[in-house]
Parts: sequence; C-alpha cells; structure tokens
Amino acid sequence: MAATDAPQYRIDPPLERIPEMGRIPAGSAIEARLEKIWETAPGWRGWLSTVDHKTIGVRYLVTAFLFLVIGGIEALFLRIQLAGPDMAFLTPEQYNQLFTMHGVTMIFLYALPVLSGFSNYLWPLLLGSRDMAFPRLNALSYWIFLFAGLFMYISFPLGQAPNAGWFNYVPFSGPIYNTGPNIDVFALGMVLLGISTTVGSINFVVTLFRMRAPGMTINRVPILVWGTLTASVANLFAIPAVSLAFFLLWLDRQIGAHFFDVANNGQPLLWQHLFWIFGHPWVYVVVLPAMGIVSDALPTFCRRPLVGYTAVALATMATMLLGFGVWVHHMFATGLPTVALSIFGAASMVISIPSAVAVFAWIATIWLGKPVFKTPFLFFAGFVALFIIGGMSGVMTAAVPLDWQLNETYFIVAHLHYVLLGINVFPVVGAIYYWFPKFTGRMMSEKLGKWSFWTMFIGFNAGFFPMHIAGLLGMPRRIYTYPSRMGWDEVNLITTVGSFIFAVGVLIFLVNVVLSVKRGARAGANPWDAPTLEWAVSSPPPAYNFATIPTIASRHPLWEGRIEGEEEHSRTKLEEGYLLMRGRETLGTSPIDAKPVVILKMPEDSYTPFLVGLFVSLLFVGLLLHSWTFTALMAALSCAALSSWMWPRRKLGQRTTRHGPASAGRGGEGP
Amino acid sequence: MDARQTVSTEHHFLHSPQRIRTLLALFGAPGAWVMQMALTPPIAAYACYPHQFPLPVPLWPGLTAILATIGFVCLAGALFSGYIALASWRSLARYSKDASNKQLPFQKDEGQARFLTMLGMMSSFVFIVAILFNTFAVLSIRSCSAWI
Ligand code: HEM
Ligand SMILES: [Cu+2]
Repeated sequence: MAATDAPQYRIDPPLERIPEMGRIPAGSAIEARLEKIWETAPGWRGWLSTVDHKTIGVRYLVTAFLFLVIGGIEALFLRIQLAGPDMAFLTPEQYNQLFTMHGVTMIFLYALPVLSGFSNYLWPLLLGSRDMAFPRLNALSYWIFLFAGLFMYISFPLGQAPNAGWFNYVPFSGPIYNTGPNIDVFALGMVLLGISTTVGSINFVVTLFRMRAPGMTINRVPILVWGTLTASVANLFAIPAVSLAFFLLWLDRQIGAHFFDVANNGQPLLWQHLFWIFGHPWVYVVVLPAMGIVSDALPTFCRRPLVGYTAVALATMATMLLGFGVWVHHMFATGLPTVALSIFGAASMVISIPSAVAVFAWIATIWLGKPVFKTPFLFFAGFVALFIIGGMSGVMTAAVPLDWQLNETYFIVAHLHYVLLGINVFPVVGAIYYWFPKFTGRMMSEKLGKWSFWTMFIGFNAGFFPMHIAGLLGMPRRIYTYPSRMGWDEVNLITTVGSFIFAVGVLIFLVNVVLSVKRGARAGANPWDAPTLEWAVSSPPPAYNFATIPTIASRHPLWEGRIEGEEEHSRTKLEEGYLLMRGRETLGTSPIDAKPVVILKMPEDSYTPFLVGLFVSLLFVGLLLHSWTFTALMAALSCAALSSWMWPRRKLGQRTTRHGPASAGRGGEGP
Repeated sequence: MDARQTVSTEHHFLHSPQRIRTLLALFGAPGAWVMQMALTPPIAAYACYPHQFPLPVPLWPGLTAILATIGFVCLAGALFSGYIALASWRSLARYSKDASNKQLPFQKDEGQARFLTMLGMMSSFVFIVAILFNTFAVLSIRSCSAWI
C-alpha cells in the first residue's frame, strides 16, 4: 500500500459518522458557511460571550502587558528612590508596598499570563485544531485572571497594598505585625488567581492529548507545546500548595487560627515550605514556555530545524521535575538539618545539566544555520546570552556556603532579574515581533525594532549587572535607602540610569506596536517563511482556523521537501482534509499517535464564563469585606451561573435519545 | 487498499510488551529520584529535629547508613531503567537496519518509538546523575545541624 494514499482512519462508529475528506476552496460558499458557524456576535455581546481562543489569547497578552507596564512604573519609582543615598522620594511604607506590588505584578500578573496568551492563541494553530479542548473554561480562566488582578490592586489607591514582599513571609504578614487589609487582599487574590491558573492548566493538558491534528504524533509536537504542557502539569501540583498556604494565612488573620503562630505552637517554617514548594516550580513555569517560544521561532531565522529536538523536549520536562526537588534552596538560611541543605543544593546543581543542554541546542542551531538578523532573532540571541549569565549566578547561589553570603543581598535581585527578564521578557518581546503579523496581518517596523532591542539590551545590562556588585558590596535587598558612607552610591546611580534606558527601550517597542497595528506593511500568511502550522493559515487566521483539518507528516510541515536527508515518502496535507461543519466541530485524536477517534462538538459562545468569573470574584470581595450575606448571595449566583453553563444540551450530544447514545457525537465541554 | 489494515498495524507498537518497557525506561529513573527526594530529607529532618529542639547528633547512630542505603537502592532502580532504555534502543536499531522489516511496526509508527526510547535514555541519564549527586550529598557531610 502506498503511504501517500490519503489516510482514512476509522472513527469510532457508535459515536459519529465517518467524516468526508475534501477541500474547501477559498471564497467558496462552503467557506462562507464555515465562517458563519464560527463567527462571534458583533458588539458588546460578542465581547462578553466569545470563547474563541484567539480572542482570549490576545486579551491575555494585552492585559499581561498592561500589568508589565504598571509593574515597570512601580520599579522606576523604586529606582528613583535608590538613585542616591538618603533620598526621601518615597516613605519606607510606600517603598514596601511598591516593591511588593512590583514583584507580585511581575511574577503573577505578567509573567505567566503573557505566556498563556501566546499559548492560547497559538496552540490550536500549531496543533492543527479549531479551538482548545474547553473553550468556555478558557474564557473563564481569562476573566478570573483579570478580576484577580484588579482585586490585588483594590487597596493600592488607599495606600494599603500588600507590603510583605512577593513571598509574604510570616510572622510579618501575620495578624500581629500587619493589621491592615494589605495582606488579606493579597491572600484572597492569590486564591482567586489560583482558580484561573488551575482551570487554564487543565485545558492545556487535555488539549495536547486530545486536539492534535491527525499525524501529529508525539514526536512532532512543537517545543512551545512541550513547554506549556510541562508548565501546566506542574501548575496542577504546585498551585494547591500556595492556595492552601494563603488560605491558612487568611484563617490565621481573620478567624484566629494559629497555623503560623509560634506563640500557639504554629510553624512559621510551614509557610516557607508551602510557599516555595509552589514558588520554585513556578519560576520554571514562567520560563519553560518562553524557552519553548525560542526553540520554535529561532529555527525560522536560522533557516534550519532546531538542533536536538528530542534533547530539548527532554530538557524541558526534566528541568520541571527536578524543579520540584529544589525549593529548600530558598531556605538555606533557616536552620534546616545539614543533610537537607546538601541534598537540595545538589539537586539545584543538577538542574544546570538540562539547562545547558537547551543552551547548547540553541547555540548549535545558530551556529549551523544561516542566521537572518531580523528583530526577533536579536531578541532570541539576546535571550541566550542573558540566560547564560542568569544561569551562572543561579548555580552560584545553589552552593550553600556562598548562598549564606549572598542571601538577601542585591546579588539575588540581580540574579532574579537576569533570569526573569532574560528568559521571559526578552523572548516574549521577540515573540511579539515574530507573531505580530499572524495576530494582526501587519508587520512591525524593523527599524524601530532594532532600536528597541539595542536600547533594551544595553539598558538592561547597564542597569542590572551592577546590582551583582552592589550585592557583593553587602547591600541588602528591600531597603528603602542607604547612607552614603556604605560605598553603594555609584552602582546605584548606574543601575537607576540603566533602568530608565531599559524602560525607554520598552517604550520604543510599545510605540512600534501601536504604529504597526494601524500602519504596518501588510503581511501574507507566512512572511518569515516559517516551518510550523500556524503560518499555513491566513494572517489573521479565520475564526475556524483550518477550513479542513490537516494531516501532518513532519515536525516542520511548511518546510517539507527542502530539508536534506529527510525521508520523502510522506507529505503533510493542508489543502485536503476532514470536512467538519455540522455546527462547531473539530477532530479529537488519540493521545500518543494522534489517530482520529471522535468528532468533538464544540460549544457556542456563552455569557456564563463571564458571569461565573464575575460572581466568584465578587464572592472574594465579600470575604474581604466580611460581608457574609453578600458572600452567600454571590456563592448562590455562582452556582446558578454554573448550572446554566453545565446544563446538558442536545446540540453538544450531551442529551441521549431513546435510541441509545447521543445522536450527534460527544461534547467537547463537560456534561 | 484497505484502510483498516493500516489502522491495526499502526496501532501495533503501543499495544505490544514494548510499551511497558518504554514506560519503565521513561519513568523508572525519575521515579527513583522522586523516591529518594521524598524519603531522605524527611528522615533526616526527623532524626535531627524530632521535637521542639534540634539535636547535635541524630536520633539513630546509623542515620548516614540508612540514607546511603536509600540512595543505593534508588540508584539501582535508575540504572535498571537506564539498562532497559539502552536495550530497547539497541533492538530498535537492529530492526531498522534490517531492510526486510520496512513494513513492520517500528517503521510504520513514524518515528514515535525512536523518539520515546531516546527520551527514555536521556531521562535515565539525567536522573541517574541526580541520584548520584544526592547520594554524595548525603555521604559528604555530618548529618545534623551545624547551627548549634
Ligand atoms: C524596568 C524593569 C525593572 C526594574 C527597574 C526593576 C527593579 C526592581 C527593584 C528596584 C526591585 C526591588 C529591590 C529591593 O528593594 O529589594 C525589584 C524587585 C523585584 N523585581 Fe524587578 N524590576 C524590573 C522588572 C522586573 C520584571 C520584568 C520582573 C519579573 C518578570 C521583576 C521581578 C521582580 C521581583 C520578583 C522582585 C522581588 C520583589 C520582592 O522583593 O518581593 N522585575 N525590581
Ligand atoms: Cu528556586
């Protein structure tokens, strides 16, 4: 049998008809019908009810960038205050609130949500599907993220923002030392945000194992998908710890529990364990998908496939698993037994192995390729450089004796910014330059792009490298000012100047975005001549993504036939594929080898995710204000909205007929 | 030709005993490492800090021996999984060399078996190293705190 025959798999008969194969020419009447099926209502109704992963993805991106700007402005205030000795630009309490909100905003409201934005937008396109597995859950995840973000800023204008740092150590964050609403806002906000992250993660995991186009076997999944999958699985284990920690803290503060209260046999170290069991995996959660972005996008600019696909996939997963066994490196100075210290130190060093594998894979890809020095490439190459520096300072702090010296100094602030900006912000900005044409149908300006890169890169290094030195000179982190005789004046001034240069770079980038949305040059479907599936559809993609479900035959479907030494017998089919258009439908495939198994009925747009998100968030407002009737009312409304969401619908095949199983297949959304 | 036939041969790999070997190769060494991480620090913590106050010497004199034993058992498990991974890789290589096997499952699965086996070898390697590091970490220091 010739392998080039159109693969025709048997789809489980009791569930569904066997879909036809065919083509849908652009501009045909069938295409118009498909458009009609998937379109979102215009105006505010569509705005509140849409479940399109692309819209949700863009919302995530825009919201996360707004938070980046807010967090960035807070940072600039901090840097003004620290520019010279004995400054009085901010009061100590203002400084505390600003550095806390800066950390919280960057870590929780920017770093992961921005990656979720890319993943939401890109996953179905990369995987050859029409949406995420649970589109409504996806909408819920966004709304709760948005509301949780607003919630955490509720008390900011009142001068009562969270003020105990982003890891919020007890006893300072406990009821005795922190009597205002500051910490309650943070605690409840984190529990709320945890709901969003959890449902979002479930959605990614199910999508990967259910929604890949036929032929996209497990060895052909893009690395961005591996990264987000790994991060999502990790979230499912890590989030419960932090939600529990913040809930217990809230109980301590509000109903007189004593989980962390030493005077009543509570355990402050319990807080640190619960927080960092979550916290360290989280730092990988906010970098692995970004590393995935680079692994997928860098090859486009090197004109060759990624070197060591398997090794990078494994490195991604191994880093994450090892990342669950290193949290005590944040607690080296707390007096744990030496065995624990040495074991966690050792595990922290082992992590450098998979990280180094990934770094060498990127370097080899650049080395063996023919790099094209476009703006995205600059950001990705800059990322590799910053990753190496941040990785070095990381391994240094994994050594227990050295960490005792460096702990709580500016060396740590330098390290964390090198890894967070280096491995998250630089790839993210590069990724915007890269996918902007896909999102909007227009290119961003190369000229402004190069300016933004060099300003950001130079400003960043000028601003943050000296922080290492400030740390070695003994400057503690989280101090609101310092006397001149300490010898920290020059490094701090340089740091402040560098920070502002960096901020100007970000500004140039944002200006570029705003100008290009309106006036950028038109982009075709594949302006970079990239290899992956999202570039097979028009820019911006139609609501249904793929007119027919494609069949995939390699890791780089759009470069097939160009790569030397590649087996030639099979070809990806993009034009011809399964025709699915009796309502919103897409194909469900098997988890490992991606064989078609079921036609999934995808849900219509709905207000319920918005309403559930709103009521659940208001419930948390009720808890914050101690307004129990309001809380109960919101709980009841949440349940009502949920019931309406979950009500079985015949269209989704969730209501069985007398003649046995559903006549219309199985729903994509839960019962 | 008959499409069903294609389906059944292509499913072959994942339903064969090879599947168990692949799973073991993939998850054996990480599992052993997780075991070691889950046992060693809590046992050490209890031995050194059983009640309200830290002890200068462990509760049980053989603590280091206990922890080292855990390390070696986990190492053995990880090495076994590495061996399985290597063996699968070799048999796969033999298969693909043999041109007459072109239509057999390993060829038909579009590289999945190769990929999973390679992952297994790499994950075994990383986690064998991780267990070795941990075991050295246990052996190279005094068990209880330097804090008192
Ligand atoms: C313009 C860019 C930025 C500047 C100038 C900046 C500056 C600062 C400063 C001055 C501090 C406080 C140091 C202290 O007093 O201890 C700080 C803390 C921190 N920053 Fe940034 N930062 C920037 C961007 C970011 C980004 C993008 C992230 C994360 C993605 C981030 C994450 C953090 C975290 C987690 C802390 C620790 C907060 C705490 O101690 O609780 N920063 N940053
Ligand atoms: Cu850590």
